Amino acid sequence: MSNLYKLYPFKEGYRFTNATGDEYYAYFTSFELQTPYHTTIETVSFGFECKRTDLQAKQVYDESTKKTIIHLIEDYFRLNGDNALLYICLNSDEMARHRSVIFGKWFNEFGDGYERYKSDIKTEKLNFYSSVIVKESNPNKTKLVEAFNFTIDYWFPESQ
Amino acid sequence: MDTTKSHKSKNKQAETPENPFIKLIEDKDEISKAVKEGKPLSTLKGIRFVKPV
Repeated sequence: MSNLYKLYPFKEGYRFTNATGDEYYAYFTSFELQTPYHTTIETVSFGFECKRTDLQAKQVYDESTKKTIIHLIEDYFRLNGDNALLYICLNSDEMARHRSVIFGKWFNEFGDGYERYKSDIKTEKLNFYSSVIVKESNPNKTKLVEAFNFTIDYWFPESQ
Repeated sequence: MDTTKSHKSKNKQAETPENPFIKLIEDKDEISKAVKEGKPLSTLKGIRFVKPV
């Protein structure tokens, strides 16, 4: 794994700088899933942001950036194998589907042993993609996936 | 394994205090703005960052 960028932890997350000088900030936030049994499950969402060093320059694909993000997610599951990880792609710039597809490709590089459950959420005001990832061996997998689907159904009930 | 479920709705229920997906979207927007403006994430209040790794 020598082609990973060095991660610099800080209180709210992790920072790394890639070969072109772009700064990435990765973070986890708490996320509460609801269950059909009137209880909640505390899980975690993952996100990252890029601060471009040169906004005019064309953003090029960088394998090590992808591997560094994947490494962080794999680390999460190494330490939290009985929990889930939630990821959403916003459609603030009509690119949610594109981001979701890219994240799906990254997910495929996690290797065997992971499952991903996705939802496309479309309301009058919102349009985003949401995924929850669990390890296949997670003893709480059924409960977590059920709660993920229940929480979405609760807040975004199907009307069509 | 990869599965997809499609949800389309026009109304939300309001029986619990906060839609966690809306909160997450708002949090992501705030984080994105802060990063682009070079503001430390520690200045963002109300976002529950965790360090599970």
